[in-house]
Amino acid sequence: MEKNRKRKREYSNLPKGMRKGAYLFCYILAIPAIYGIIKYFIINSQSILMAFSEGELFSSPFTLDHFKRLFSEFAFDSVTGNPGPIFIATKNTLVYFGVSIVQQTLSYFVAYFLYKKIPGHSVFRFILFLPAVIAPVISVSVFKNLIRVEGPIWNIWEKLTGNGYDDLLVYDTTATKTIVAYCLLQGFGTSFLILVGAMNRIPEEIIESANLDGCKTFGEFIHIIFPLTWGTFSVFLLLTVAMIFTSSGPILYFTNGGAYTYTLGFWIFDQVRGNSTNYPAAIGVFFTVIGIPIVLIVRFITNKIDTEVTY
Amino acid sequence: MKTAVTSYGNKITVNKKRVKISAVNVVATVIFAVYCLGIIVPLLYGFSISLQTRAEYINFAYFPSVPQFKNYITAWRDLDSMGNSVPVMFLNSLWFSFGTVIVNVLCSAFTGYIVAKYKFPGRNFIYYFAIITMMIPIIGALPSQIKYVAALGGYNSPLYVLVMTLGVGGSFIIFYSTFKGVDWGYAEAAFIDGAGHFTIFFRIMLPQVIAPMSALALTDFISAWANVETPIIFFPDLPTLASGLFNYETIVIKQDIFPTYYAGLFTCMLPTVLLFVIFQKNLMDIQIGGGLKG
Repeated sequence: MEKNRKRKREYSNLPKGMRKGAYLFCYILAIPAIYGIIKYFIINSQSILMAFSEGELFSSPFTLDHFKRLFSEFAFDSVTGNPGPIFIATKNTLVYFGVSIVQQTLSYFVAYFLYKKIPGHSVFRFILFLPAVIAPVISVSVFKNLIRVEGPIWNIWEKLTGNGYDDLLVYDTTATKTIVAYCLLQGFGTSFLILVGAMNRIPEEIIESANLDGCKTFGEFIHIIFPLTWGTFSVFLLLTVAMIFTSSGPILYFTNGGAYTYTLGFWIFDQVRGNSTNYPAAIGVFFTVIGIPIVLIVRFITNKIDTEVTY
Repeated sequence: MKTAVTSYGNKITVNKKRVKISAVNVVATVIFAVYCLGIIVPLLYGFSISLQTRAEYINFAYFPSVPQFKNYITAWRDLDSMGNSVPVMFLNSLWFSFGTVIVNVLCSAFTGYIVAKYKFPGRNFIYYFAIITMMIPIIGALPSQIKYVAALGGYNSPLYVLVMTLGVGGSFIIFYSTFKGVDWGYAEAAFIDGAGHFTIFFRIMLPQVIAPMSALALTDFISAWANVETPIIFFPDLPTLASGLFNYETIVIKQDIFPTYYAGLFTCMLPTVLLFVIFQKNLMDIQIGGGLKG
């Protein structure tokens, strides 16, 4: 009701002549958006058609072969017992998705302590954002140099344990773990800054009155900060869940897909680099279809929790 | 105590909020400090390598005995990717990054403004389209994207920026929520004074969101500058600094010329770090209110 009243206030106050001109103005400014919508439908309908055809679009017959191949590459090999490449890619993708969830959660706590202005908070804020400023091609190269055999970390490890280690990025037992460690050391992107912004918008009076009522740090966090910033945090959670099957680490820079480190996103990228088009499109369509209900369920849950508080 | 000047020119003293020193804050500070060291130390180590001689690097030296600043000149002169020198790659990075920023920020601002402030047929469709595509990204559209870009002449061309970036805008939701919070009273007053819609948008409304706009521009610039995958796939003959230096790494490993390579990498890093240092205050202004409704 209040929302409708507000909207009325915004549009009905325009002089009559202006209202006509408003349509023209809106459609001129909407040209990029209209182009974007058309582009979206062309690209994705083409992608779906590619998933069901063998060669060139419209000239090759309808086929389900790509999906049959997908299922066969998802299954374990009956002779060797080894998992198929799509299974490995899916497993790795879910590992990186877990890392993203951990990072999002941690970024919320980081934002809280920066909002509380712990000693050195402005320096921390600067340094924590630094990894987002530096191209992964640089930070990964430096990280690889740090952990190389006989490199600085290797030397420290040898002094501590008496033994060095083999190249961490060569063996499948350590490669993905190493990339995950790197991801966890790479800060929290822009999300923690947006969360600090959301926390800073909370009126000081609310916090002060809660403190006067005897609310301590924990109570303040649980009963005031979290409910009032849930709207912003839930957007990040939802966007992270939306990326469930596109989650990935910097595989290209670390191993180029070697040592079974590839994810679905990297695998598709690698196939396209090798001029394969229709099969990656089929994989994309398959995982998009699986992803839709997951996102909708999470969105339903986050909206249920939403406290609808505005401040 | 801090002194501030009011809009009337009077000096007032403001009590600066004191930081509470509690056990939780001390523990948090220690954890933050250790984590930040984990970020800073590798960068310093990388910078140290960029100033070493080849022999020092091979012998696992931590610091250069004499800083070799000439490595930076050698990097600009000698490093290349498929015949493209560092200055050429630098230029490619510039058009790609600036093009992406300008198109993306303007598209997001246009769409965010009209959807937040006007009522017109198709408004809800644009809003829900933006929300749905943000929530449900289509996976594996890369092959189709290549065909689309090639069909419109954007493959191996700077035209790529226009063909692929033009759209609803990746930052639509931030502009939408920012414009929602801007008082419409300013526009009404301007209408009464005879201003048109374009004047109001460009001269009154857009300047009010300049802080979050420049913050978004900065983050877009940083991610475009660092992007390796897009140049490799869509314009392989026009390598940017990031993609070119990535391509060059195989040669570096074979020849063990890491100090020069790192000098090139740190040159690549310079523009984004400088922009971040200059505009870091604006970055703190990115805000989105509420959740994803609808």
